[in-house]
Amino acid sequence: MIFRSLFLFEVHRLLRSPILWGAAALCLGLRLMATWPWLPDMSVDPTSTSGAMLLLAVAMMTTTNLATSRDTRHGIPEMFKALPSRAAERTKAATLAALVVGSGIALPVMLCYLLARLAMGPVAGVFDPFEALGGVLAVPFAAALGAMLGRWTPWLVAVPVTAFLIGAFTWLNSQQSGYGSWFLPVVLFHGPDWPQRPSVLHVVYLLAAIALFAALALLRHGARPVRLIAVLTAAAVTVPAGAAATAAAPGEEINRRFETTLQGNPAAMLGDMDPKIRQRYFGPDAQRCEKHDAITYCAFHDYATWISSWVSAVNPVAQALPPAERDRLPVVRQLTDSWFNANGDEEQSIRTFMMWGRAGAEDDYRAVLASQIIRSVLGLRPPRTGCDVRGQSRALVALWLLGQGIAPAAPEDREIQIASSAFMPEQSQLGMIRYGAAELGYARKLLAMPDARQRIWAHWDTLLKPETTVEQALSLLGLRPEFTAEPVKGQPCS
Amino acid sequence: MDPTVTVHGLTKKYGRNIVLDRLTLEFGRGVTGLLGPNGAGKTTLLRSLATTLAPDGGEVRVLGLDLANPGQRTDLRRRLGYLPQAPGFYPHFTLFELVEYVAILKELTDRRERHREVRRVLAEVDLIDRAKTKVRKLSGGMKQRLALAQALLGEPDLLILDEPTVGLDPEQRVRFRALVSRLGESRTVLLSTHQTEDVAALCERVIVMNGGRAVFQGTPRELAAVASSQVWISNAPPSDSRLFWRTADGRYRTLGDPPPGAAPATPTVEDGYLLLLGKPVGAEA
Repeated sequence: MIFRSLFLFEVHRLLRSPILWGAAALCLGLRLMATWPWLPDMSVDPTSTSGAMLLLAVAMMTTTNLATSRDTRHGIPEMFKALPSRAAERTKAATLAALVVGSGIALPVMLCYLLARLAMGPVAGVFDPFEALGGVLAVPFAAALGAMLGRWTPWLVAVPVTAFLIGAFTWLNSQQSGYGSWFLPVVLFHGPDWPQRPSVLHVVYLLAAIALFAALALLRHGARPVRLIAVLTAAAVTVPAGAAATAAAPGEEINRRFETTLQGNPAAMLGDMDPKIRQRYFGPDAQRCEKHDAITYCAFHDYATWISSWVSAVNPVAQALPPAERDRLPVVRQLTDSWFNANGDEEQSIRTFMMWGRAGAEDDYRAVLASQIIRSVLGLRPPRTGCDVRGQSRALVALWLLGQGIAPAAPEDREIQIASSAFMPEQSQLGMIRYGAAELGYARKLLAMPDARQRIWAHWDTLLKPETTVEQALSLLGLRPEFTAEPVKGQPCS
Repeated sequence: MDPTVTVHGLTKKYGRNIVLDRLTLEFGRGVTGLLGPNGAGKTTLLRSLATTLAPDGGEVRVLGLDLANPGQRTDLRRRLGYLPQAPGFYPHFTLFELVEYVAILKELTDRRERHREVRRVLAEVDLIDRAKTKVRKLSGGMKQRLALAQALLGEPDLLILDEPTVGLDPEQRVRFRALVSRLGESRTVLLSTHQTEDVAALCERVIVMNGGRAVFQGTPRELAAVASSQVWISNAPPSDSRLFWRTADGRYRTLGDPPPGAAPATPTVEDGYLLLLGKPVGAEA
């Protein structure tokens, strides 16, 4: 009879909770901040956002726990025992209110995030609505858990302890096989080219677990037949759904196999691969290819929207090349996130990846593509440790070509993230190639000269010879000596 | 007048300790005061009447309802207002929220009516201006008034108040007396207290408990009459172990046999209560 009033009272209180709204804002803000530098990839974004939902989930668990354990605090039981309503009704109302409010806050957070991502540039990847739903359900999952803890443990510290244990469990799992992490309300990360996650089963598991926790909370008020049946039914779904969801190898397991057996062995990698993944990323129709200005770009089907970004990075450099060189440019080909080593070195393609920058970060990715073309055309093949192109006229041409797309900068050691867990080391915008202030200075002069292209094309072959020095190139390019040459450091580029 | 509360042979034990010992009493509409030393069983009696404690034996009928029957117990709770000795509060609730929450639990389900009732009881205890204040910001006396407010919800037929004047300042105590005496005009109020002046000022009946039994049931005047011809005023303290204390004017008030040179004094409820309990040791006040 009083259930509706109690439910509305609890909803009203939860909706005015600064903890919940603060956590929701933080969750959304931090997630947007974390993904700001990259174009949206719907294969990754909903799953990773589910991980970020843990913040909101902990807040929800805390507030629900406080609500359901409210009538057990000092002096309250004595007051409430003299009232006609029963504790079970309070538990029911507080738990249902928390489930509704939790879902009601988590859903717009997820939607706002996804909509914001959709507005951040061309969208790639495959959107799995069940992954997004899993992230939303993480919050009511935590609410139900908080309600259960509130009824079965008299200590307020139960929530922080549980949150810590779940956090520790998550961390330990991500350091090990990762199998256990699928028992959690969320999966922190799933690679875009990993075997498809059992997201539907995970959603079923979450829903059943929510029902199980809620039923267990009510069981505290007496083992009535309906409550017992609810607990047993929910458990009968939760356990097999959880077990089935964890039956397939999670991503961490794939990473572990990479490190132990597959690294540097492309054939073994292809053999080890999930057949569906092999078909999807290495099958005959795995990629869609488009030709733009005589250059072929090949992307995985779900990433074809990014081809325009690659064209905008490659085109300025390609247009600055003599026509004969332009025709010889290799294919620009997208490699998988996790399996890029499986391609081997048999094909000399320009490689692009399953990440692309935005909001200022795209220059890094444009440089990665442009520098590959420049190195290919100029015949620069730096060893793993890198080489020094100081004093060589090729350095001026390389930097001038790079400058067609992005402003050349001084060398700097750094790593560009090219896959979910792979980074490309760089010593400069030309990759593992170092140059000096003189080369950079002359390149900037060339970029300011209106007839630089004609001069470079006129002396193309000479300028590209490794033995042609910067001093020799200056007169050919119409430049005056004004920068002091620096000595070559380390291995010169051959 | 028919009694609204009838207790017969009520027994409650905690281990070997008998807290209520075949207690039998009855009282009706109006304000009834419950006096007794610590450990006399007052709070246990109140808790039994408020249905928060199950007795080990005996019969209790309140407002015609048998408290041994679960359904009738719930019915009583709908007609009961209870202020426990140590009421609980939610510090992060506002006063309005806390009282509204209790109102919902008291089955006031119509929102508009409930809000009106919450405002009414907050006004009764002079806290309406602080309705939006968080409970954590209240003083001890204000919290006591807030606890009283929740007990007044729904205009209960039976009001059980366990030491309600603790923490109230003199002005608030006077206001409280006015409120309780007004409530007692139309309903049954049972008030446990250590303040005999509250009993004298408020109660139509008084029950004195000691050792789990009712050692006195009657009017305050009858309780005062227990000390009739046994209260004395003297300039010097008595030499034996009779109960006495030094009063504000420097003279001595003695209960029992008169000390030499003493003049008789008008007995009070406190005199009757003290004599009833038979305190043997004198004291300087």
